[in-house]
Amino acid sequence: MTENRNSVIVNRLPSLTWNRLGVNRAYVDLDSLPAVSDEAVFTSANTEQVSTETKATPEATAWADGFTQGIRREAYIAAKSAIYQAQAFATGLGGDYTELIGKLVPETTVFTLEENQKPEKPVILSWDFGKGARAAAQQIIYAKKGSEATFLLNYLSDRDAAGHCAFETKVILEEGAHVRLMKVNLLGSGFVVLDDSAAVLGENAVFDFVQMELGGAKTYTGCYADQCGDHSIFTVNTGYMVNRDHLMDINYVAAQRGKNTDSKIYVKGSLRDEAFKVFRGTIDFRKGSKGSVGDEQEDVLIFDPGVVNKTVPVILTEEEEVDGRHGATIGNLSEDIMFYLGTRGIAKEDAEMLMTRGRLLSVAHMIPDTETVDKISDFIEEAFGDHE
Amino acid sequence: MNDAVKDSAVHYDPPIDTSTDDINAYLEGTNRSLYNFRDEGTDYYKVDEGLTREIVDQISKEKNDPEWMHEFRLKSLEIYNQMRVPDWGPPIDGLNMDNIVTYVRPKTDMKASWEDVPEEIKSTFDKLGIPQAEHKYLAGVGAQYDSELVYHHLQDFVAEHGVIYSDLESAMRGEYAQMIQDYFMKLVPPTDHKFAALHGAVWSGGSFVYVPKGVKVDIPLQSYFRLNAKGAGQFEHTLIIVEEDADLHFIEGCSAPKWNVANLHAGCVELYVKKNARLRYSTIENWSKNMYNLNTKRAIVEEGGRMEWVSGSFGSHVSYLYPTTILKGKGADCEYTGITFSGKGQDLDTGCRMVHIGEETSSLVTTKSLSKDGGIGTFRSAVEIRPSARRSKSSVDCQSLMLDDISRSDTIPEMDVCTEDCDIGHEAKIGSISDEAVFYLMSRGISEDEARAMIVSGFANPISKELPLEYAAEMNNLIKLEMEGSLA
Repeated sequence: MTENRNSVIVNRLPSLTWNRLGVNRAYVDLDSLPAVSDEAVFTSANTEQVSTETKATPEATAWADGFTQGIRREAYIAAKSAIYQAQAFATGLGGDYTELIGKLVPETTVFTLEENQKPEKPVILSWDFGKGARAAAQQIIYAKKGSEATFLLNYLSDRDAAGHCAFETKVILEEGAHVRLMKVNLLGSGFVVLDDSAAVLGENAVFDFVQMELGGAKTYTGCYADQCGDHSIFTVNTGYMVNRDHLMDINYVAAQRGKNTDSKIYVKGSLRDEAFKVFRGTIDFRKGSKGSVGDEQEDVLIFDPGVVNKTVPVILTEEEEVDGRHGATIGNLSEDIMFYLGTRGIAKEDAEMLMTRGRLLSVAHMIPDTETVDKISDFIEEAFGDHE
Repeated sequence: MNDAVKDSAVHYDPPIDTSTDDINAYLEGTNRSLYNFRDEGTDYYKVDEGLTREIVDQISKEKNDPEWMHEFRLKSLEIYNQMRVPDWGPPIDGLNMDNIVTYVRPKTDMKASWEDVPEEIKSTFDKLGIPQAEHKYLAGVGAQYDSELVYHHLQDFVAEHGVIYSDLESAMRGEYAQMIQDYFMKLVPPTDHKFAALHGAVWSGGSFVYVPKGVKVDIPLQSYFRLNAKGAGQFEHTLIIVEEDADLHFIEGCSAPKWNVANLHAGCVELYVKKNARLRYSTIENWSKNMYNLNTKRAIVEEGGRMEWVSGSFGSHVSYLYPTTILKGKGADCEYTGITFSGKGQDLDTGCRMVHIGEETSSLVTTKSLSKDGGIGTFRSAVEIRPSARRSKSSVDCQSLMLDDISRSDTIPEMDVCTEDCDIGHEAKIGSISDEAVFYLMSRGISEDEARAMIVSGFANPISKELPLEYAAEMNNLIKLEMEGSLA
């Protein structure tokens, strides 16, 4: 918690940079959350495929922390800044938020995949906030050796609804386990969204994280993957769209500890009107990660002069034989593309919608649920309709 | 453009490919002792250790400051005392201002002839090759020893065309007094950060360069800074104004002997590049490895102007060094080319900041970083595209090479874009020397050490080729010295 009334610090940049840039951390003012009285309506599908139980949150947290005991926790990041707040199970939003959600959520849902269990259908968890509601939830996914599954979390509401939500999902992947975690934010234009994710990966484990961040007035989201096991793979594919005077604040960290690990962080999105977006992406090659590779790319389309885009792609390296890359392209559609589309009779606004939709759907199509993909497509079109 | 100056200028060799035999020949006979020798007892007057109002008053009196400067120093001290130490960079716990001597005057005043410089000080610059360099290929030289310039000279054929190259303090008290008051610490105000405030309080020495409209100085000017005194700080101020359509290449060199206590360098460089002017500012920094190098450099570029930074960072125990360029005028552009070599006991945090304000401005950043023997190298940058900077472009390319597994290499760039009509690209890569490349060279009869050295040299080549021959050779020499031992 900070000195600023009732606020929390989230999305701290693992290695601090100049304070004047305003990207070292984000503050969430809890007093400014939209007031709502109703709980969101929760529905689920295909949960019978996996073992599900609820645990008291302190108990669940302590249990999950047990899986991280072997991880070396540094006192300093990049040999410079002192660690801000040690987290046993490091998450994207960070320790302050984990502490907060521990207070908000009395019970945590634990999904367990047994050894080599591979349910065919995705487990779908949906929260419908309707005309405006609130929800807070924490899930732990425990994927035992050789198991494989997809979890899809949907956050839905009416188009102009206001409300707030706080979520956290932790994933424990044992040797050879493969989990696809997909989160889709189609919330109304008055929502404050806090959505945190984290994973601990064993040897040969694969964690695919897909995120569609399209709704909400203020969204803070992050994901931290501790790649402890050799040959573990962490992949992020994110599509975002921010318009009006909305805010999007993202923090992804791949802490590569095992040998020959692989991380990919691919983010693409569009910004319109007076949107404000911060993207922090960190590839952190820790001692012992020999032979590891990391790649990070952000591709941002900016359509209006009032937009503010901040991109911070970081690589931290304390191991010799690694290969880390990052790249970013930021700008408008090229004149060539606009000219070509113009010659085909497509107006500028339509061209922008088409290009945004094309980019975002390339991420959305990774979601194995056509109903969700259709909703995403409709959401994008409606958002451009609002703009016009 | 002033053809007379152009015609009369001494020709100097253009940047060359530093892998040539010329450079290898130039390097023969060089060794580490070139930079690491000490002169005992050359200081004549110094203030007490620490930083107090009395010390600032004392320095101001010693410098015969005009009243406005005295007040400026005191105000800066106030700001210094209010500001916090940065929380984001390398640790500077080992720097205790209570132990730093902020002003050391050597046993001489400034001379215009090397013959008049006391022998023990002249021999320092002889060993560093400064008089020889001036004779061969420089239009002017300023040499600072501890807190004061001991030598300053501008070739007559350049002075004849109105180019001013003098020590800053003479300029402040002479006919350029108003100009200095108008420009001094306007680009880097004392409120910028704690060590800018420190600089404002205790600055001493440094150069003033003024290139009149249309004058193109074809051969470089150079300032060389030598900090000899144990436990001292050097706070020189460089102010350069390049008027419309003018052109200048300024070279800055620095070194110090190694002591077993902390030394501090908190200089400040302010560069004004006017309409359609061009300024190239090259630095080979080779401070000793007990030095805290907390230096601030900033340029502002008007319409159609061009700023070029070439920067080699080799020395220091800790460095915070991020030349900033404000691209203010329409079509202004900047190119930053830098290399940082972090060895044992070094934590070098370097990079740059580009602030695009004018329309159609452009910036190009190319950096290389090498870390070895436990050294920590950090590339830190920011590209800021303000709402007014429509149709601007920026490209950043940083590459880092890790030479062992006990070192660190980090890249922390930021892009802050506030307009839709721009084109911003960024690429970074961190890696090690590839076994395949070493194997290939060894299969051609080259030893492993030589192969690795060749790869490192090739990695640095895009930077060194931006320097004049002699400086490229010095840089290659420094790389060679740094690589010694690590290859064994």
